[in-house]
Order: sequence, then structure tokens, then C-alpha cells
Amino acid sequence: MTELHELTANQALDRMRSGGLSPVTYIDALLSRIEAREPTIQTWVCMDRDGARDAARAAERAYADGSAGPLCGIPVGIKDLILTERLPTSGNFAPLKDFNPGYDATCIARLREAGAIILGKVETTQFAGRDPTRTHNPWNLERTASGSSSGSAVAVADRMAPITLGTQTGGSVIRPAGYMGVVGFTPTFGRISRYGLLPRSYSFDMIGVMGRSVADAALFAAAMTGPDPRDRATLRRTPFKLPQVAVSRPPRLLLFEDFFDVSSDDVTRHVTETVDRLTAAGAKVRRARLPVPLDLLISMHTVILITEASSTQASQLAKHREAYAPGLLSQLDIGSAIPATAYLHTQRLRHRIRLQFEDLLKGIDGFILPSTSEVAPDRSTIGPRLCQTPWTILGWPVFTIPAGLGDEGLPIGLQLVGAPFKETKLIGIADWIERQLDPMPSPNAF
Amino acid sequence: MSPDEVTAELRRTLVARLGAERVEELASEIETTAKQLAMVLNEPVELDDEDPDFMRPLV
Repeated sequence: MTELHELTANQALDRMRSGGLSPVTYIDALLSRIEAREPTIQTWVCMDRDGARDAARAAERAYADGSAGPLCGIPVGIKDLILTERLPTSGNFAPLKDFNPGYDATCIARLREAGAIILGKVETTQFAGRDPTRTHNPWNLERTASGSSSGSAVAVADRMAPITLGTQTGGSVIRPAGYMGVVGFTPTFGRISRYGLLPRSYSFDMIGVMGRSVADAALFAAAMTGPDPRDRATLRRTPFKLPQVAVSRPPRLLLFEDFFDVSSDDVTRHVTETVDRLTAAGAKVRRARLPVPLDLLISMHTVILITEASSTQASQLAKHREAYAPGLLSQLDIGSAIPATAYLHTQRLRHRIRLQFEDLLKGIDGFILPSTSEVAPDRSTIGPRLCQTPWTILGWPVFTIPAGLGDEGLPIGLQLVGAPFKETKLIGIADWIERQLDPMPSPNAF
Repeated sequence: MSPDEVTAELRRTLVARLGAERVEELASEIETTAKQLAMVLNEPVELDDEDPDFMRPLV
């Protein structure tokens, strides 16, 4: 019989709806799992055990009286960069250790409205920067847990929570999810309100979901979407719908070869074999090159990111310079010297490049490429951003789908990019791809 | 602009703001950033590429 911590969110929901699983039993099983694993993995910053048990008892009543919401009784781990009413939000920054303005971010409030249970906060690199966290990779304790959403990816991979929220400013959802062998999903920029997210970059910050299936990640992302007057980027967007039936037509995909130029042999071979498998199942895969050099996209990301981060951090930097991690501090210092004209030139260039990518979508359902350029490296780094950053610049929706294990027994992911605001279609394609691939095993580090 | 010119400009600004000692600590990263900035600045954006609301492209 499947242990309760092995259930996906949708499997747990099915059991709760049929009366076969109590939300209280489920939360207790996950709390036991966390208690057993946390001393080794070190991914939780703080937990709301009493609040989670109270919410589970309320969920039990809701199932009994027929008022259960679509996410009722499912525990969620939250990146320690997103405000939660009952828990502090530090951004892994010591001066904010007890910071709690006493309200939920919009995305958290929407999860609660749908019945989800906020279990606790999970590790982030400092202000979503590049300095690694204390968290361990459950696949191999000597490898990086990545970042910036390290805790979010690890908690899902190690079966401590079925769903977590992360954020992405460069590759901070897709990269750690790829390294950990879980599904990561970032909808289009502007779909999910960022109100209540400690900011790093106004142009790039996005909230994303990690889970152990495409359906899980899509379900929770959909629940958070929709207009929010406190984040103007969301105002004109209604929530996207989940596909009602499984996609049966194999997709037409564009495979960017540029990413094999920067990937390890292991990743290149494994992703090529995965693409061959999709082709054998009927997918039409065409190979292409990026319309602009990858180096240019990475450079644009650097210029915009470090300039905006230098602005968002200015007040804290003036007060608490000594509390910053070295990698982030270097970026903030250099970002403060980028001329305004250079920053604006880069933003204008972003528009031109977006049009070039839009042209490539004609007759295509999505782009595919490796999720990361190598398997998880050592703990001194969160890993390179080469494969994820181009899509953050565009702000387009992205999935990483686990594609098995490489030569070292570490996960490799396939990345799927879709057209802006076409999430319903993208979810259908991601689900089709997931159905062609083998189920991902659990980490087996011990 | 060349990467060397961009490096010199960044260093001038940072010495004034943070002091020469900190700039020496950052020397390698300044050089990397300058190469990236030069690459971006040398990429033309024509007037007919313009979007009047380019700062909020997906809103």
C-alpha cells in the first residue's frame, strides 16, 4: 500500500473526496515524515504545526458537510520570500528574522480560500540571490540543493509536502525542480499576483509551483491566478482553465540545439533520447537555433536583474550591509553603477527580441530544451541559469518535466515553453509528455 | 562601446561610491559584467522596434 507521504496532491484529494483519507491523518503523516527527514535535509525555516492541524480538522468538517474547496486539505510549503499571516518571512536575511506584517500575500490568500493548508516556510537563498542555502539534496547530500527555491524543490522531492510555492527571477523554479526530479511550473508573467512577495526584480519576479505531477502543479497554479488590484500586472487577466480532457494529438515542438552546446554530455544524450521517445510516440519535433545568441540573452538578464535588485535592496543595504551574503552583495554593488540609459536600452531590446521569438511559434505548440545544462553540481553553487533565463526574459509560461536519471543517478528534466497566456494548451502538452515518460523514482540517497 | 571602456566607466563610478578597496575586491566580476553590458549596448534597437509601453510588455 502506498505510504501517505508518497501520494500526489490529486491522489490525496481523490481519497479525501471519497472518504478514504482524513485530512487530519494526512497532515499527521506528513508531519511525521518531516520530523524524520528534517535533521538530515534541513529545508524548513519555520512551521505552523498547530495551525496546520486546526486547518486539517476544519477540512475534515468541510468534506463532511459538502463545503470543501478544490484544494481542501492539501498541505503546501511556502518559499520564505512570500508573506504568510501566521509565520514570519525573512528572505534568509538575518535582520528580517522576525519580519511579519501580519497578512497573507495574494497567492497565499487564494490557496487558503480554495482549502489548502499552509504547512510552513521553506528555505530560499538570501533574497532569491545566488548564495547557496544550508539545505541538502536528497538525491546526493554532497550535491547542491540549488536555488533560489531550494527548499521548495527539496520538500517536494523528499516527500515532505506534495506541493510547494517557489519564485523565479532567473531560473529559480525550473532549475531546482529540474535538479530534484519534480515538476515545476511558472505561468506567464502577470498571471499570479506578486503582492506580498519580497521583491528582487520588478521585470522578472514570478511565482511558480512545484509538485510531483503536471496535474498537481497546474491545479495549484490555476487557483492562484486572476486579477489583483494590488499588482497591476495582473489586472487584465482572468484565471486560466485546466484542460477538461487529456490531449490526444501529439504536439508540434521546436527543439533549440543551442542548449546542447552548453550542456554536459550526460544531459545532451539523455534529453536527445527523451526527444526520440516523444517522436516515436508521434510528436513532430523540428530542430532550430535561437534567433539571437544565448550570450546576449544572458547578458540582458544580468543588466536588468542587477540594476533592479540594486534598487529593491537599497534601503536594507543602507541599514544592514554586513548582513548580506557575498554573492548577492557583489551584484548589488555593481548593479548600483549601471547607467539608466543602459538599463532602458536593455528593456527596449527585450521587446524586439520577444517579437523574434513570437515568429518562431507559428505552427508550433511549444519549445523544448533541457531544464538544466547539467545534473546538480556540488554545494558551492546553485547551478548555472543558462537554460532557464531566456524564458524569464520573455515572461512566457514554462514547465520542467522529470525525464529520468542520468549516468550519476541524478535527475534530468525536459523543459517545455509555451506562448504567453496559453497555459491551458501548455498544460495539455505537458501532460501528454509526462504520459510518454517513465514515472520518476523517489530519491534514494541512503 | 568596448568592454574595456565599459569596465573603466563602471570602475570610476564604483570607486566614487564604494572606494578603491571594494572595487579591487570586485574586479573580476566588474570585468564580466562590463563584457555583458557592452554586448547589450552594441545591439541596436531601431525606432521602429519601439513599443510605447516597453517596460510592461505582458501587461
